[in-house]
Amino acid sequence: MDMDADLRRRIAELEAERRRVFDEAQREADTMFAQYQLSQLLASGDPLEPLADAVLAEIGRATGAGAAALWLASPAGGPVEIVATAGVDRGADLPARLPDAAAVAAWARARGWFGVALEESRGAAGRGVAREAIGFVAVAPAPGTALDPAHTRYLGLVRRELGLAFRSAQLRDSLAGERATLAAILEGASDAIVAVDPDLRIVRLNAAAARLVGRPAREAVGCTCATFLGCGDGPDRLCGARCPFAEVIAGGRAIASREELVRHRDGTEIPVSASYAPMTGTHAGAVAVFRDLRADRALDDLKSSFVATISHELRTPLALISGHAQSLLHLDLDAEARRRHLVQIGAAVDRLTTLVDEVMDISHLESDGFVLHRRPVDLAGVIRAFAAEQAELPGAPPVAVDLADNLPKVDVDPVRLHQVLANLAANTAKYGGRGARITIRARRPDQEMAVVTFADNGRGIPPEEQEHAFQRFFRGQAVRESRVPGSGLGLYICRRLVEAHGGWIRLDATTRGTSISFGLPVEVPRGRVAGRALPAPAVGAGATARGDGAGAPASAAGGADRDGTPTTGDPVAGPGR
Amino acid sequence: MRIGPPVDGRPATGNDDETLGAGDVVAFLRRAAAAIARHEELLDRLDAALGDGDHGTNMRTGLEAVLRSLGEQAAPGDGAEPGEILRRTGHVLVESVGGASGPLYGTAFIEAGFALDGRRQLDLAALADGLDAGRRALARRGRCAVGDKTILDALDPATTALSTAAASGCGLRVGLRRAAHAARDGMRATTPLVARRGLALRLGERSRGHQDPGATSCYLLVWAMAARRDPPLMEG
Repeated sequence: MDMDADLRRRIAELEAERRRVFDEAQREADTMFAQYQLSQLLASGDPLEPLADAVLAEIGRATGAGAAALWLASPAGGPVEIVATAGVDRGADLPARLPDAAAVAAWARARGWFGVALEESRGAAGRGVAREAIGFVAVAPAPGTALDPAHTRYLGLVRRELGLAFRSAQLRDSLAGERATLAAILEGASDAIVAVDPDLRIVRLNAAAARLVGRPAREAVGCTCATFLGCGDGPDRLCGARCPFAEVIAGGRAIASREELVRHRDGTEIPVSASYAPMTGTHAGAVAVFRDLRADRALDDLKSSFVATISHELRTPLALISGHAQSLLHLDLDAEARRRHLVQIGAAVDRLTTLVDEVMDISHLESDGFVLHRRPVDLAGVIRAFAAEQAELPGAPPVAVDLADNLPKVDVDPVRLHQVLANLAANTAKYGGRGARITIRARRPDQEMAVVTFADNGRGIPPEEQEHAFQRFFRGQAVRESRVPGSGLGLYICRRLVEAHGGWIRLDATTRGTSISFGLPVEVPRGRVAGRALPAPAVGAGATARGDGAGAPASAAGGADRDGTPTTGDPVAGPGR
Repeated sequence: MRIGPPVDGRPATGNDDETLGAGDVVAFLRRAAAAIARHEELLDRLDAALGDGDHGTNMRTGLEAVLRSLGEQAAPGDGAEPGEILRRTGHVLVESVGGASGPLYGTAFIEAGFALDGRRQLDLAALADGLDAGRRALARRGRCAVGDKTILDALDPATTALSTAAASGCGLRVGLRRAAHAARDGMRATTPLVARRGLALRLGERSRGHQDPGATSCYLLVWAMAARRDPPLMEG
């Protein structure tokens, strides 16, 4: 039975061989499958951080390691930094930053870690490909075990795939970051930005563009620039041959700032300064930047009125002085006549001084360095003293006071409070005529504000002019025609001073005369408030003006308080400002 | 490979209720294909939450390929043994199922087939051995452990249940039903787990709250082994 035994031995050998080949094939297949699973993660397109975490977990599992760590250089070069770890804390004596991958390799060797440098290929096939180490991945055996070379071998097989995937993830992340930054810049720009494709359809616009024409941004994308900007209508329409978008797309040359009109959804024409630039590449078309010129125009108007008012107000007293001086020089006058001329010259000089003081006040009020010297002030005392002072002043209208018993101390600069009262009284004196009388009433309607009402029996302010009463340089028509000199700054200065205190000022509805109320903050026992920077003036402020204090009552003079919204900027208070 | 001669011109089925023959294995695969096809959408939906969203489609395609290969190569009467049918099935799955589940299920079927080599009739103990060989192969190839939120979370308890039933002298049908119940419980228990293998690894904590599609398809396969009828439709 040797034959039979031999045969059986031979069969057993073949069976064992078959199993050995099978097992070997299975190990190969295991490695391939591990690579496959890793490649699935690498192809996920995830951002660097989750990708690195997942890949390290996978590598740790595939190599049977107890810990794994990844270092990468940034795409811009420089040192390699630790990006992710698995099975070990990042802080736990792993080097956070080393000069290059070779330094990590040296560290890993010294610590008994196994690792491979990750490579990135540069260049193109056939034209010389350079490989560059961009990072390092290392694994450590679990305590009390050793790494199996059959498992770690796979790391060497995937080093390039790892390098490519991590570098791509870094570039994707930085691209996403740049896109977010650009989007934030675009959205945050105060100028309107609109991009169109070659068919003049809007492909991108920012929030300022939507605001400029009063249309929601989501409605704009896809519609033509003519529809969106309203330049398709009207006699000055830019559409067709004169379209600047079409011009820059066709000519490929930018157009620098040019004045144009765009149309708000409500039909208003808005003057803008427009610049156009062509876009090339995958996103061909043109982009335009529109700057709303309305604020500039308003500022220009303001400057013009300033120059006109001031020069007029300067010229009148100067002409008077000149005239009286000529008389004194050329006429043979007696002492009494000379004195009359000198009195007239003195009055004209006083007017000039007042004007210069007001201009100085404005410039002071609008500078950042304006400081209020606030302290708790007895409101009733200030008003009584002011009334007494007016009684002493020759030609000043008499002042009656009506003060509540519970008037608090107010938190104000007493010099500035006096200035407000004096400006208001000066208006009555100027425009009230003979028999003008003033009543100053003070009340405390709530815990936070004291309200002072300054009323006279003068000619009042016509309803149509009330809206502008507190604006710079504004003078009513009747006042202008009355030939009473004035700069149009008195009420504006009052408003700015009251607002600087965090108060408000408004015109009251009256049947006769003028009634102006202003609110002042009640003193609250707390640390000293050194001062308060002034809010910036608002162009076109309404008749009711208020700061950050308690709101003005909603029922104000007819048409004066249009919407009750704050008309000034944010008056940020703070010691030391 | 030892391929026996045809017995009586029909695929061998168990001659009693306590063993399974080649014909029973073919019937199992047909039921498995039907069960997977009925639940293709559910499996895709489960996979969409954790992976590529194509597990159901991949598995259906793969099992259709298995049925075709059975038709071509293991026609009734060619005398194939159960082990060989399982090995062929494994190879077809590796070749035709996309994603990781092809190699994983394929490996399990191939190794189970190897373990059952030379047996024409499979009793409960043999089935338990085969399933255990498949379980170990799948765990090795996938480098996964119980609790990783994988196929293994259904396969492992099913294997244990089958072995326990065999050791305690249970009947074949009872043992298979216990395995199916254990697979179902294992499948359901994957929902609160955090995935530690496969694409779902990227999700970390966000993988909680989703039932694992691999464990679900595995339950369907074990169920097909135990059942004699078409599978009931699972709600997903």
